[in-house]
Amino acid sequence: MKKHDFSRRRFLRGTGGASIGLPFLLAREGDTRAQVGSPPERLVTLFFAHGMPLPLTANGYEGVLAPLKPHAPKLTMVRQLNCYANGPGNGHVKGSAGFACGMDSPGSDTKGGPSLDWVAYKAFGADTPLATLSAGLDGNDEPNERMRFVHSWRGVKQPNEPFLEPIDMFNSVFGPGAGTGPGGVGPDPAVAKRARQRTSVLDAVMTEYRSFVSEASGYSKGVRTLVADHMETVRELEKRAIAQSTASVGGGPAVGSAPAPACVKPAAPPQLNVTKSPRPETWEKAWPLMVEIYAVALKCDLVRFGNLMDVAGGAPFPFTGVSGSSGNVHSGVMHRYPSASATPLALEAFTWLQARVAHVLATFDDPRYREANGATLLENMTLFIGTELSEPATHLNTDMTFWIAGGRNRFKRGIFTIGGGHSDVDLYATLLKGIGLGTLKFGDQRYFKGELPILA
Amino acid sequence: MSLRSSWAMVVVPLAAAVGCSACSGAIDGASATPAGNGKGGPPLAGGPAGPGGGKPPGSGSGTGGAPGGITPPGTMTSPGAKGPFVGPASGRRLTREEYYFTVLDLLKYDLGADRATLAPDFPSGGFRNSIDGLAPSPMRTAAFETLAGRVSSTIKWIGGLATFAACADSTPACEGGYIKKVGRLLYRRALTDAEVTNLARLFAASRMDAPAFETGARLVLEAMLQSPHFLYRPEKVSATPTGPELAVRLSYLLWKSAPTDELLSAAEQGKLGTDVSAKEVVATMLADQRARRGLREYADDWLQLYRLDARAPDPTKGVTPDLIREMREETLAFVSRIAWDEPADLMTLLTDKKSDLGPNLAKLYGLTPVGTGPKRYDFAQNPNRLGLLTQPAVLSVHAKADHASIVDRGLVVMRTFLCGESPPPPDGVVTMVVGIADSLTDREKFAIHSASPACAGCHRAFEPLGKPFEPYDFMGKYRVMDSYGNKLRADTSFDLDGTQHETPNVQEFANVLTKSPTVEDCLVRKAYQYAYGRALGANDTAQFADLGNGFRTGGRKYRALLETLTASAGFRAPAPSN
Repeated sequence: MKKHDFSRRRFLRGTGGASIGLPFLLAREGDTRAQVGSPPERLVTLFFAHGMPLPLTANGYEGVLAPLKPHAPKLTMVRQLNCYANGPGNGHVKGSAGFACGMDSPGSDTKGGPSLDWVAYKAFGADTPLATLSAGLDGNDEPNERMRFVHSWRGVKQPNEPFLEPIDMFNSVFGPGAGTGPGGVGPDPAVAKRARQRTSVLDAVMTEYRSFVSEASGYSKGVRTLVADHMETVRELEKRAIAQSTASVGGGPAVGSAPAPACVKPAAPPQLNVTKSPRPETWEKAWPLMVEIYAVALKCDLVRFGNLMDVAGGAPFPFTGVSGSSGNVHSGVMHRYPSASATPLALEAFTWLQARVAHVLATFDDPRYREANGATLLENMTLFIGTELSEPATHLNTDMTFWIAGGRNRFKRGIFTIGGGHSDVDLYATLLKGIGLGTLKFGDQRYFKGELPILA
Repeated sequence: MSLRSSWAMVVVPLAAAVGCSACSGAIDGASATPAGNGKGGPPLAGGPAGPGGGKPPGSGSGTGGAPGGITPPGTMTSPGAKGPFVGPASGRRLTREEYYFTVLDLLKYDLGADRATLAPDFPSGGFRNSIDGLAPSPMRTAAFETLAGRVSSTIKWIGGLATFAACADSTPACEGGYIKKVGRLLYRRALTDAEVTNLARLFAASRMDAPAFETGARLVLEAMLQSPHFLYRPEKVSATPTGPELAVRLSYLLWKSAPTDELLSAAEQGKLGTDVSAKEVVATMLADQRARRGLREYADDWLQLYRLDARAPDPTKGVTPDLIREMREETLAFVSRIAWDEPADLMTLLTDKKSDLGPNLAKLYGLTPVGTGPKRYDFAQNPNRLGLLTQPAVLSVHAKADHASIVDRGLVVMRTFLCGESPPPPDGVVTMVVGIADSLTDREKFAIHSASPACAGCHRAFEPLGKPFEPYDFMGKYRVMDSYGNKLRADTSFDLDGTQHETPNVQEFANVLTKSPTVEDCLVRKAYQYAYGRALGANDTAQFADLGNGFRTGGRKYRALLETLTASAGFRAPAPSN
């Protein structure tokens, strides 16, 4: 891999502007593999807020789960698992900390270990411009409970914070700057020059990081470790800059418009100021853009792992439905479910969150994203879906429900009610085995009871 | 238990030192669960005990100890510190605010709205400048790159970046001179030859561009703004910090920004190495207007006013962006006046009766606004408005979007002014007051909710501290009665410093706090935590003890607090070596 990587970089650097103007990153090795029928391993986790009471999943894809019904043939629903991961904080914090991690949390600001997507990334060693990609909808609540709004972690106190604005996500994935040269022909020379300068700057910056983290620097081991972690993120940035320097510029349709691009850089989305207005009306504009950017990034093999967050854990937000409205769906509705007065609006809020999940499934399964092997993006990847609680009023983390979507036919389809004290760690172990990482010990092994009967 | 303990407990997490076991009951028919995580533990065969049922009650999350109330940290009347001393954290990343002010001060470049490119930092230990909350992330690294590119490409050349260049020739001397000059400020020390050589490559890469020197200089700046030597504040492992390292500690504490050229020069000349000259340097820094800015930034962190950024406007409830801005500004201006302008005894932060209100905020206070800008109002005849405790910003930062409870308010008083802490309730517990008639007052609801002996351990410590604020709604508006026509009360009974106090209203409540050595200690403790930027350990107990004397001797004024803190042996000691 390293040898190949070196050759590719040399090629990219050597050709410089000559390759600019080619369809966006068509030369990516992973994408090439996908074109010939061997899609790369991909694992994305999808978190949704406010939990899923077990009784609401008893009748399959009806009621609050109705939005998922069209996708049921590609879903594995796993019911009645307990999340034992412990730590300071209430059920929102514990449930969010345990999601895709399965480890006790040492504090309210960090998961207890790396998340599923990161472990898979490290195990498969993807040489993509982005190591992982995280994006989602945040409710601007309780800043010191970080794991509620960060669901991808490299390790303890090593968050992969999510992009909250589609334009920021876009710029990170595709690179800033766009345009063509005079008369619309060829690349804009200014953009090409800037791409060259950017790689030069990052090269100089990386030299400083390498010097800093060396033992000879004289800094303590703790400080060097902290900065070494930062250095890895700069290294990713450099890798991305090199890849983006060869991309064509703005040739594709706007994000979210049909037909889907064949790895042509889309036009940038607008600035939505999502964080200034964390409410459903804004999120309904942002989420489709985020999901579409994510899909293009996967399709073009810019990333293979990461997280999407369908609203941060326990986020308060104003919600209006047919049956009423609440200025704070968290305390005003979910905390009171299943009281008679709160239930109608709570069910609508659950359904609204599931509609966001369904949008991800529909986008990833869109024929526009069919790959060379004839399968859709969803069919060629593994999408793990879960939440923070089972009962939003009691904040319980028992009797939880999870889903695996896609999975390349390695998981049985249908609804599986497990019970018997099995935990999410059992599900993680089964999932990892399914995708070929069965030797990994993931999550707190004290909570491992055995594999689940969902492998095909 | 009294709200006071021995000084030896000073760095012990409060919940561990108190008889505050978390709630383990439910009040709406849900079954009670044992302490722990309430899940009963996994059905494991062998191996260590799982969570919840595998733990003894009260052993998790810092709970346990003898029954009773919350115990705050101790006093500073203990014997002085004898060492070994441990200094502030090394290797802190610049916070968003520190980044902003550093670029503003050193490069005269105002990021303006671009400041928001950086996501807010995470608080740890109560402050956002603690090393534990400053972890890197790919998103933040991308933001640093974006800002570096923006600053370096748009900063003025003539009268701006060019002032760092003695010449503009493509010669090693000229290029190196520029790198050394701008680098000394941004890296807060002299650059090494290897660093100059590395950065000079960017000049070489710009030779084909015109104007070559300016292009190279901008690229050097872009690289420097992403360098770990700029983004982090590392200190070499050494028996004593260097002069420039001490200057960096001082400037980010007092100014929230990097040392100036003059301060670095003084540090390089050894002027921070002796008590006398160091005091002179600190006095000079405190006379600078940047120190006033540093105070505002500290207050913003201490009182967590930044959380107002997350409060979504809701015009249907009168919550507008202008009102939120005026609320924050009222409190910052109030702290600035008491601590800086007058300057007064910091304990009067709890009792002073004057405040500067913008027109929207004046309406919330029930006043007729005068003019369009902030005006000073005197509440001498109003027993319901005094000091920080009744200011809407402080009252609302921890309130929900449409409601605030006496629990929320009690916890704010405990954490902010008594330096206390309480463990969170375990899951499995209905924390919302449900199953109780909405028509009851907050204190009536919680009297039922907290009746469980398991809940009472914590609730009886913080609920009394919140009761004086029952008449103030979620935005801090004073009401005589609630929407159900219930008369709202402000009386309370609480134990502080070994004495049981009965106060009829918020004014008397604040007066008790003002006389409390625990509150006095807490003022110093918060400043200490902010200055050190790391989790506190056993050594800090002794170091912390000496500060109180200097604070009291100096009339409990802000300046005395900072002078004592910066002159202390701990502040000038080596950073933790791990």
